Amino acid sequence: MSLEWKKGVIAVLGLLFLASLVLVQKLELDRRRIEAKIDEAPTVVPAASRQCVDCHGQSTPGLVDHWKGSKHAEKGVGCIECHRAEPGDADGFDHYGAHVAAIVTPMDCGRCHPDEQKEFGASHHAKAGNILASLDNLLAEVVEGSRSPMNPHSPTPGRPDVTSVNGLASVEIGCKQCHGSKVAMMGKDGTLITVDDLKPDKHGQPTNPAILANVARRDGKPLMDTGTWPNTGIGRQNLDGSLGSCAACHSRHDFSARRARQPENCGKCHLGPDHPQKEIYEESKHGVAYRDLKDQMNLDSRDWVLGADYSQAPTCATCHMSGNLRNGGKVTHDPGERISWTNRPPVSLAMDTDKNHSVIKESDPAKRAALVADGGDGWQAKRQRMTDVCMHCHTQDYVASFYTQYDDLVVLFNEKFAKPGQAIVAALRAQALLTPKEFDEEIEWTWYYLWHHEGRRARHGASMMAPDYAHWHGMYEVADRFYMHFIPEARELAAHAAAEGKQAQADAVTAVIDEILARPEHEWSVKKQ
Amino acid sequence: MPLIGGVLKRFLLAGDEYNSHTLSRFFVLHGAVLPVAMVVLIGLHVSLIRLHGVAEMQFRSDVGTAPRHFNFFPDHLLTELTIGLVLMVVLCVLASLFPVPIGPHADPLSTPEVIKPEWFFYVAFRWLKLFSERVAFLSLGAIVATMAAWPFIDAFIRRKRPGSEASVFIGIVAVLAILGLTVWEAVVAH
Repeated sequence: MSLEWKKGVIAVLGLLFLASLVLVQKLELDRRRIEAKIDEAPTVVPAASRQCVDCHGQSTPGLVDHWKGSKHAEKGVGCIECHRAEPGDADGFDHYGAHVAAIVTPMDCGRCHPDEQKEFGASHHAKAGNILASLDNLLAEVVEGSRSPMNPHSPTPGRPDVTSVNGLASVEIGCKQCHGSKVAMMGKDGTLITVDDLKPDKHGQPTNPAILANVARRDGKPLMDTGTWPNTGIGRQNLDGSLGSCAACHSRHDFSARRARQPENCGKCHLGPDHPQKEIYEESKHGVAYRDLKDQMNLDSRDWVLGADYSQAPTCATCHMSGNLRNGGKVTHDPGERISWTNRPPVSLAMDTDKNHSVIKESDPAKRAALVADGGDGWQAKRQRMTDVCMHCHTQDYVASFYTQYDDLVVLFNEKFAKPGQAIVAALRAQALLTPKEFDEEIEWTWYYLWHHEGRRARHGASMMAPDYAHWHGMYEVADRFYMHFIPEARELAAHAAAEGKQAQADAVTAVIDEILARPEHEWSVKKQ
Repeated sequence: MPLIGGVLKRFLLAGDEYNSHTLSRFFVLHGAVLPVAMVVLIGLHVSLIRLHGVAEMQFRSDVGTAPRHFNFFPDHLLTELTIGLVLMVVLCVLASLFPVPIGPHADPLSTPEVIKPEWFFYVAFRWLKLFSERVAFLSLGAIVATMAAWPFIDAFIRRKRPGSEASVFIGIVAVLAILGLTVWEAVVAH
């Protein structure tokens, strides 16, 4: 090889070298800008969803942007993967060459996340829709609204379209948005078609497909009943028979684990006068530490294991759901697995659950034990799981002593106010001094405030270290309600009965009240002459 | 590595495992030992050049004439200085136009999903990922050893086959391989 040739080769190699370095530098720079969060990571749109993104990027750009920022987009999970409908699915429709459904249910999510679907399905969250038809719902459907549509009683200026009043408005936009609706499609004949009519099999396909002929459609798309959709209530009863909505916590399209880890997320529903868990948490030292140190809590990490990824403060998810070092990082989507009292009913119950994950109401100890042994889960096991969480930051003795304080308050409320209150209401009903109808007498409201609002505030305040809720918003108000309203109203009902000649009934109720107030803990309240 | 492997490892890690002294040891190695060694070696290199002079390229037409030399100072030094300054200017321009951001704060609690070394290690990094652990380490060691011993190997080849240009072709292949592996590692995500 002549020297001229060699010079040429060196020149070519030199240029190649330079070009390679410039290219590598460019790639490095791009990578670092993404790492430093100056640029966004480029999103690769999966081929099957490219057409969706092209159109919806124009028509609903926010929705596409949310998806682009999601873990799903990063991992190549597009629109079709979640919105895909099988032929024969009740709410499936053809949409520009794809067969899709608007509502993504836990059954859809379970195609890729089977464990999460299973845990969630066993949780009390999934059953939240069952409250529809309970005492609370009577309030919204009848007391606040009306079960049948009403006529407006005078015109609404500027809104000539207001020609009838939907009496269930409060249920639909209130109750159901947390508890979940029973999703319904509009029928051509004006009826509603729900999971009850479709009777889906275990794959979510209707076993009664004939009814689909009755579904009202626009451009092929089924028309949904506005009373039940849009809805992201956590116990939504879906057309495929699955219960719940993963979007209730993870939000749609950006489907975020980070968001579900933050207490603000749970605060959509767990707040307010009857169960202010969010406010209780904010008042507690846990919530204070969270606000202070949130930025250091690694909320974006993949597994978010307490003790490994963070330990600055617990959020709702930390204690009730997330993995920790002591349980091998195991996340659960059933928050009930670590709760040892249910403070929902008037009288708190120990959280022994049977094989169906229902709270055992049986009082016989042997039968309770048998139900727990038969595929159930005892409250002690649940408390141990929570204790394991606590012990990342607190000693065993400290946790045990806290639980003694908590148990003591729950038992105090149960014994001093809840069981007596229940007994007095039962006596009034037994003696027919109350009508069978709920909420038509003042004492029914009083009793409801006592256990459903104030009593829960006290118990929840105690459960999550918020002293002001345990006492001033809790037990103080319970006591006020009991002594200054509930007992006088019960006595008044008895006095009215006596005046109306129902002496025996009045005496029976008065005997119950007197027996309760003669107990040492109530003795102070009885005026001594 | 046989015989000296254990001793070397203990020497570098300051123990049998990574421990709190490992970092200090590497700091001293990079901050004190290597710079001193570098200055000594550069001094040696410059002295040798002053002793021997710098060889000029021999064109075919020059065959037969005596090898010519040119002075280290000022001829060679000035050339080096010029190239150095040009590169410095290019570097400053590039750094100003395309600034590389400082990454996020180092967080000992979180391990990034993808770990990559600095770009100039890409060639070795890609090589290590191509083979099993044992093959990769041994072959990398062999390649580095061959590079260090190349002047002797080259002399050996020329003794056996005078006028051989095998070195040139091996050199071309080596440069292409280095570029290829570096670009490959830079392009792929993992």
